[in-house]
Amino acid sequence: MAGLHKSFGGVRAVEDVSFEVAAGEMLALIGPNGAGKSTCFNMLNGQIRPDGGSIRLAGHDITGQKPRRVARQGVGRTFQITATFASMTVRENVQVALLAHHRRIWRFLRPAGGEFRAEAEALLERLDLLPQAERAAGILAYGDLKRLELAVALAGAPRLLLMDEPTAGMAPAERVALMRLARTLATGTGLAILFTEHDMDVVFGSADRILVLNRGVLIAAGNADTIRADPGVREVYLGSGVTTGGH
Amino acid sequence: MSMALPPCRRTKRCGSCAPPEPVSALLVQLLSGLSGASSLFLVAAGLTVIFGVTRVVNFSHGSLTMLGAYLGWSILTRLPRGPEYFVLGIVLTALATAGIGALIEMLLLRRIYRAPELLQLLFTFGIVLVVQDAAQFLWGPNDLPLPRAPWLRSFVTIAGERVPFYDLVLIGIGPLVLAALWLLFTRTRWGTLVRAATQDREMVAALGVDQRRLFTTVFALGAGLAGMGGALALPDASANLQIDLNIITDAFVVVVVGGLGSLPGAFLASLLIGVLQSFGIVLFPQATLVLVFVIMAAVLVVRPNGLLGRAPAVARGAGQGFAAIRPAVPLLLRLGAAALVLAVLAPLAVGPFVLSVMTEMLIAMLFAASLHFMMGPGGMASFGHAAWFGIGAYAAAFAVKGLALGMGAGLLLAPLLAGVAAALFGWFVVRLSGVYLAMLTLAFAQIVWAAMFQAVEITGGDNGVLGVWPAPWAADRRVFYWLVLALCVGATLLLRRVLYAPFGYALRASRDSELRAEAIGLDTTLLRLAAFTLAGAAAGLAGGLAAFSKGSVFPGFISISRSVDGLLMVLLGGVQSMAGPVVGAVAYTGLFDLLLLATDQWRAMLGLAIIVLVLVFPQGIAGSIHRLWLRGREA
Amino acid sequence: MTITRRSALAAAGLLAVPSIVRAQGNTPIRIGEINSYTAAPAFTLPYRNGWMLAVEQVNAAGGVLGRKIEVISRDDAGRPPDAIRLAGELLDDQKVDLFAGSFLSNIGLALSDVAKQRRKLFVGGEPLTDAMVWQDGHRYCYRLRPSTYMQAAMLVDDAAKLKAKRWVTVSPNYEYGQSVVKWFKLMLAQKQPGVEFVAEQWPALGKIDAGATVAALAQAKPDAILNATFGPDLTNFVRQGNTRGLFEGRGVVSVLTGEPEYLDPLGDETPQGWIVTGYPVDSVTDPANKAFIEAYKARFNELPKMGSVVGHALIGSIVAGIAKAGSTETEKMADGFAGASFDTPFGKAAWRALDHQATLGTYVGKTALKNGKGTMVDWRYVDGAAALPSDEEVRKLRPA
Repeated sequence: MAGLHKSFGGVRAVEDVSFEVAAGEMLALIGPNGAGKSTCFNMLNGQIRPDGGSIRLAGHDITGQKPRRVARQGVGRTFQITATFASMTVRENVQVALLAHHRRIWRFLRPAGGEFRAEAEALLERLDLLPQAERAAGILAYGDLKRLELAVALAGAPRLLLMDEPTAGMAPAERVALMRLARTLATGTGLAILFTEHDMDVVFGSADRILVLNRGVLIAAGNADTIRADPGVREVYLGSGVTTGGH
Repeated sequence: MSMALPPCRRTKRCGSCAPPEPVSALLVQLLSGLSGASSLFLVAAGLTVIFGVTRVVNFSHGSLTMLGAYLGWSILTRLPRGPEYFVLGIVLTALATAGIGALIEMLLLRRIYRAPELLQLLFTFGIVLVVQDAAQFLWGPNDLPLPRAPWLRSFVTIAGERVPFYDLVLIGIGPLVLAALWLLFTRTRWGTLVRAATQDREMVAALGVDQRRLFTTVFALGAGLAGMGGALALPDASANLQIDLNIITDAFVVVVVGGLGSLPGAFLASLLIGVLQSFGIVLFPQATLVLVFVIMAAVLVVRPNGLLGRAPAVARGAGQGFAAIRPAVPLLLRLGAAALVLAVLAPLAVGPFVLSVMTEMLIAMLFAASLHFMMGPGGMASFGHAAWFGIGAYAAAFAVKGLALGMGAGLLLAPLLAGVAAALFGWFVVRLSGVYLAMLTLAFAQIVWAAMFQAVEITGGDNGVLGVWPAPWAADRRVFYWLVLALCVGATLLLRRVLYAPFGYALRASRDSELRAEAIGLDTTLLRLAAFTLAGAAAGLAGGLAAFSKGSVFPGFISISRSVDGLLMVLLGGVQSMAGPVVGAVAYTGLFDLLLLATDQWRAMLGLAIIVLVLVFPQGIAGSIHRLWLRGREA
Repeated sequence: MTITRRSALAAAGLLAVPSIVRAQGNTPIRIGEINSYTAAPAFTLPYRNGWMLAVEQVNAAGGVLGRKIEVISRDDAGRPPDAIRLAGELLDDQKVDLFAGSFLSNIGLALSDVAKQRRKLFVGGEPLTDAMVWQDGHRYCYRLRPSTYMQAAMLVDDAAKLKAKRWVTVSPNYEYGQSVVKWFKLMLAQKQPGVEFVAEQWPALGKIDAGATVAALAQAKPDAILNATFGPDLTNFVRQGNTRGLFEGRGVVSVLTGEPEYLDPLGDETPQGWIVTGYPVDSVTDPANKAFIEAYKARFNELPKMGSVVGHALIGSIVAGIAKAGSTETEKMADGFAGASFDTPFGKAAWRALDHQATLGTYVGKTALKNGKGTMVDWRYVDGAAALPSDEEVRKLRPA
């Protein structure tokens, strides 16, 4: 897995941000509200076209490609406001993602219920969702929904996973479990993970490296200790009324 | 007699005889177009304001315009004929329709704000039908022209041409009303709330504003504008029972072209349409009906959210409204199988007419199922599904009468041509969403309708193609019934099967969350296009069968009302389940047949039935029964 | 649910059949009737009154062939497919002996096609298209009203007398309107060589944009105008034309405009001196007509309209046909109607054997304003027989 670089000449949202994330690395992107984290994410997976700069995935330029192309090249993501298929069951959600990944969508007659069933259930098992497999996604509790979204994103066997506030709305124990799972994935399969998070415990507890974004500008980068000690970061967070290390 | 003159149908093409067009003539057409634009704007303004705040696609807005015309007639004919009394009468009419609008909102619409958008549409259509019969009951069936006072007949001479004085009055009223509304929305607290609600309903609710009162007053304002528009049109027209549907189509076109919820957009669009329409009459006298739809299609293809509209805040079918589509419960399967056995055996027991009604029900079932396919799982509501039905029917008729092929070829060509046409039009349609998408399908249906209507040499125009009877081997009505049964049930089951295949999963995924679907690598546009094409082909097969069943094909096969019939069937049955369109088609065809035969007031009865059904079964018949069944099991 | 109820009804019907001896003389003769009641009420409601009155009169006089008559009426809502389905219902379920009615030309043609396919008799009342008895005419279809050809023929003499050179036409864009314009142009060109038609307007039925239409016609600077619009379109057209001065100094020939259902709504804006076909109900003098008007007024408390006459005459023509056929068997009626003569409010008329067109005529006159209301003056009754082409020409037009 090679590096990822991007830079912007855009005006406000994100300005000249460059970073890379390595295979097996968990990189956190933090910053106060409106710092440009989601904009970064949306540019990475193709939802927003950057005004300038470039995005490279394993050496290939994917700048400005549509989300589905980016996805097919191995970028999975979860959303800040979860996006799942509400009318389908939990298992079907994962199945359809597997079907998409294996390019088996354009089949019109064979019933889909049996397709990739075992794979889907294995994935759900891993995320502790198997007991919920037959429930409609639309009626899941929020924490379950977050994990389902992760399962759907993982079904595409991504090389890079973007997680936008993966633990928001979860109970503390769930958060720890989820981030532990993410860590296992990263080290086990060489998956690169880039995530944003408001909960600083989660950030400092799980990230290999942390990037701090403020008003669209990257103001600090480094491991947990470096960031904790960084005066610029302290100022930003204190200035916006949030202390590091707590919430 | 073979002495037919070549038709001279276009003034402009009349080469030798048409005089050169003087500037003054252009001016006259321009002024005439502008005055038409003003009346249109009043009605459209009300519609767009109501939509902006309540998000209700209000089909009954045209009925309020019609009521305005009738009430205006009743009031103005009782007042003296001076201009000051005319103004008074218009104001009184606007107040009266505003009152009626408020009543409708408080008594009826208020109950359905939480229902799915399309069910609201169905509901307001029920109101249209009831108002139509009520108006006929109150004012009689005849047109009521307003006797025009002398000042209404007067004219002003501009550049040597006579321009009706009243046209100038109308031209002035449009901008005046726009200015008044603008002041109302920008300078009053109420207006600020309305604008806020148009942008974000939840936020206004969070501010602790009394939403009920806001909605009622907005509805009253819109209704008042509609009524005023209806009354102001009186001197140039009459109060009649066709106003509602005539005006609602035009008003919808204006609102959509302008951008839903955008007042300046509505103003701009009515100017555009009014003026182009006026010049179009000179240039293409036979294409008057279709011109507005061509304009709408062109605008929507270039600007998917209308001229001044913004992308809807919530993307297509954000998923919440949909329950999981479950494979049918065993009981339902058994019921279906039993119904099928009965249907197969029916010809042995019933008479020819019952058989022909059952044939129609089967065709309606396939038509509804094909519409459901794109509406439910595809998330694309269509106001113009009759287009594919009609193309199928004409294709079948053309195969038999034009190409002298047999019924078999006709039934092959029907879904084929309809599918190809759907794919071509679908290319533009599937990029849009929500009401815009629905209106673009309507535009295409109207364009297809006009093509069939105008191509007299091939289609017989308005007389239709007659003598499209089944092949000799299927001439026996029982054999033909069995053929229809096999094809309709087969095609419907096939659609169902596709729905449970990987393609169907991907399609539903695209509907539930386009964001997520794209993020897992699904080409949502292509998926929707494929669904659109399949639905078109299935509707085409239904159309082909209808051609042989009726022995004829008419432009009416593509009419708005047939599209609406399809919508009614799907919505009555319920969008959420595959059984929905089947139940809906059978119920609707049956209901319609019974009412048509049983009563002169079939419109009111049908309308009341729809209103009651929506109030009682907000999920559609099949959906609600399914829900009750689930509740019973969980209890 | 609906199916089962229908099936139950049908089953009950089947069981009941043996108890009815169908050939017995005292069961009523059943006439199916289909019309666009909800779509075109202005014409069809007086029309319904007309046939109801006729049915009452016929039955009071003892019926026909010793049997009473009964009309089973249906509303097609202006939609041809509905009309076709209802025809099926009337024939199969209601077991009518023949069916009749219709208003719009396209529906008339569709019902005629059903009659042809099913070999049942259809008697069209109001549809005016020539195709019904000529190009698409057949053994099982008869038609009562003077056709578009006949209307044009009745008007063309007066039109030629205008000595106008430049003509424009305005006509609803469907079978009736197209047919009127076609015939009028042909006949006028024969009568008055050198006549020019310089512009045409084809507003969609019921959707005229009158201001723009009138302006477009005026732009062509015509000497005379042919109008075939009727109903609401006509009202709008007349008003815009009056204000914009379209009719000033120009001759106007107008089809159907003298019929009370279309003339009354014009009120005090009725243009004067238009050459029209219609029904001068307030000034006719012949006894048959007077008697009809009195009976109608006594029964419905209003003056009859043209629709009333058509409805009344339709029943009269059917009864006469059945009487002459001596039977209600389709084949006998298809033969027997030909040549049957019958009384109508407008006087005697007959079914032509040649093309199954009735010789019922209509009034031709001029519009005028009396006490703020439109009326017809200088009128004369033109018998239908006088407005038809030669037999030879008809034979060429009608398939054998």
